[in-house]
Amino acid sequence: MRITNSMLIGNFMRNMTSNMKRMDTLQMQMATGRKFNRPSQDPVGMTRSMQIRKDLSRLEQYTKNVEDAQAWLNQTETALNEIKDIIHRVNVLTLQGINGSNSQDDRQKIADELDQLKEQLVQAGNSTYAGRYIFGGYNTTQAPFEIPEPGKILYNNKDLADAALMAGESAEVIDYEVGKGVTLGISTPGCNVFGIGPDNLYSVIDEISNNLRNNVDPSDDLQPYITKLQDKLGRILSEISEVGGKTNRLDLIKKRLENDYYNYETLRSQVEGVDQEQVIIDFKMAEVVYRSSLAVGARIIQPSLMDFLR
Amino acid sequence: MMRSTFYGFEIARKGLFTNQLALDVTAHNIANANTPGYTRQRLALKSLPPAAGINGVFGAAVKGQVGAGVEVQELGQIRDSFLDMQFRRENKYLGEWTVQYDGLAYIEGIFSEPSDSSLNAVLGEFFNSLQELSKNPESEEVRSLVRQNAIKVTETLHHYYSQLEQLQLEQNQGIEITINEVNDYARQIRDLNEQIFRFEAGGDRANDLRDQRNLLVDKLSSIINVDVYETGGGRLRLDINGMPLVDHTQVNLMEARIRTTAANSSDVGNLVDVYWAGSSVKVSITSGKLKGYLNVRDGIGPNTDGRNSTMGIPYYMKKLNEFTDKFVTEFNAQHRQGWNIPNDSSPNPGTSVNNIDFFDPSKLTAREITISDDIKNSVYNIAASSQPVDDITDPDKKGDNNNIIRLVELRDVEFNGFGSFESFFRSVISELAVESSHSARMMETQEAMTSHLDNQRKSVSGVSLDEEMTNMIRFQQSYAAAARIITAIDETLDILINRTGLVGR
Repeated sequence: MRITNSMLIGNFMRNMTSNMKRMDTLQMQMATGRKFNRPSQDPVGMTRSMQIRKDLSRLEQYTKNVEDAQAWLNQTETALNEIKDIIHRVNVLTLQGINGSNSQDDRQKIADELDQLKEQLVQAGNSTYAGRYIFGGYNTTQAPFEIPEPGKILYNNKDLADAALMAGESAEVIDYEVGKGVTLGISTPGCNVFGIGPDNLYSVIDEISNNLRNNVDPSDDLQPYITKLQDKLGRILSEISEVGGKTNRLDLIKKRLENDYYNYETLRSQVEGVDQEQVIIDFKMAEVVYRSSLAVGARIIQPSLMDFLR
Repeated sequence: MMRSTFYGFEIARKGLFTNQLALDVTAHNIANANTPGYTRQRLALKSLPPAAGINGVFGAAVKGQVGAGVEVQELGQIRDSFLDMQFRRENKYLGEWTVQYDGLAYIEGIFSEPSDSSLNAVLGEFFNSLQELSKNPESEEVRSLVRQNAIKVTETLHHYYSQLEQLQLEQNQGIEITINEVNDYARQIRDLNEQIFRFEAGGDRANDLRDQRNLLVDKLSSIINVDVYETGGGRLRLDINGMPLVDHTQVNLMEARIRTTAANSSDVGNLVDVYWAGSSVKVSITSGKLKGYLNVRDGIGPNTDGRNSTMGIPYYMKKLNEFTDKFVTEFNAQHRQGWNIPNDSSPNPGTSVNNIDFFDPSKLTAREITISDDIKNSVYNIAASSQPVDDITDPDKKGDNNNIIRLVELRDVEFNGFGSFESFFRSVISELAVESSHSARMMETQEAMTSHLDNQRKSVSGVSLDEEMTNMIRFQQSYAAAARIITAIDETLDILINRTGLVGR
């Protein structure tokens, strides 16, 4: 084959361009840390990368949801524990009141403390998390428990003693999505905590206090309330253990989410990420090729027969 | 019969002149070593037969004949028209794939995957903000965040769509400009045909004009499918699918005419078709840059009614519209199930209502999609609750997030024949990626092919400076030698004329 100058130069230029293109690609991979920067560079990888990015973004969101749910449940647990302590104290005070050796003055003092506990109970029932009432069901903006007149308690504007009115309220549970299609009810309706009907926690304490205040010998009248208090305590304990169970479940879910996140992140770096060492070695090789092609080109293009003629 | 006394001078003179001419040709070749399209030239030489009667066989003093020196037969060029044909055949595909790849790469740029500003990314943010709302349905800030992210989704779609429209217009301009280019080349070739024909009528070859013409035909071959014939007597004809573009000194120009009916419903206005000037016949464009522009501008994807089946701009417009339609319809359908929080801008001010559209249900294209006026007026019209939130007997049920959870779940719903929102768009990107990388590969293949053929042409026709230098020395020496011959003959004549017959003088 006959070789002409324009061929030499054309080939040299073309090869140099393709060398530089290769270096540019590698440089881009180094600088961005990604194997591809436009879909056409790796159509399959691109599709997988989009899927993984979506999964990662939702895993992040679920993790946030789980953390918020945990905070909410922690707040619920604190409030429930407070209510549990109140019941314990009421129990102790009631047992003291049953004791026949109490003077009228003593009973009065016990009744006063019970009244304070009663208020404390309503406060606990109106606990908030981040400005939202946690025991109000779907009502998160107004205090759910209200005492319109002494001895009467309203839950979400309805009489807590009226079981029929409470039927709908006791089913209102706020759900959080903590996984694909997985929701977890994180709120506890306050009516379930206090108990529905005339024997709700507030009314029970109220009646004990009234008995102490008004009866000369309240021991017989107070006896049945001990059982009622035990019943309430059992209910609170079961609510606490349910909240604890949910918290545990969330811990597990969170661990799994973290695990998934790690796996997807690994997958993403496999699909998108470059192998740094490999790229550096490739780049070094490309550089060597480029430099030697320049050196060879310089030798081929420069001399001609003219240099050797007299 | 004897040779004439000065016969040798004549032979030497021819040698001098011929070598001088050959040196001129060498100079011309060297001067044009870098001229695009230049074909190296060579003197075709021929030895002259003996003049009749001189040294003839009859009565010759010596046997055999001495020729009459050298003669220039032709100043020809060294070119292989088969390689030209091969080169032009491949060059048209190079033109087509280059333009198509450029267009598709631009579309890839528009969709900006992978990045944090792509549709998939903003869609993810939108759904994540709905998740946040499901945890704080009463919060005005979070509601505003949802609205803001929804606007981001609509703006991303607007941006994609208007960029596609812009690109379609640019491709259309590309077609118009390229047609002017074709017409310009056709006219130049027509003029050259005339000149070459006139020049060659005298028997010479119009080498340099032919180079110019070949270069123009090469350029034309990257633009459109052109067939080149040389008919008798140096007449050249260029055909486009059987229709003559240039027939010797006749030229048929093309013109771009604005379409009366759009090929695709999404097309921008004033797109042109390519017609033969002054006729109702469309130019049949099957390859070349023009075809590339047409593919990108008109490609609607696979279809049965004879439209361009490349996945070009209209295809991606159609896909964006399909996405928008489904997204708006499905999202609204679920959103209408929910109830808003009473506010002054509510459809029924002061009371909780349902059947509120989140996106404007009459704007179902990517160009138009927008959030509804209700949502624009108040974020409290986002229907988070699955029940009225203002039951008089109850406090407001602002904490009810059931409808938001249903909306969040839409993200994973696989709609029949559509897939989920994100998987639909993912498959669009994947199609684009495959198509674009295919174009890139085809372009590279054609590049390799044409550069190989071009190399072969240069191997045959290109100027080799070393070769020309060698020739230069050859002709220089021959010239010197011919001059020496004259001296030698001169000396012999000197002997004959000045030193012969001097005895006794």
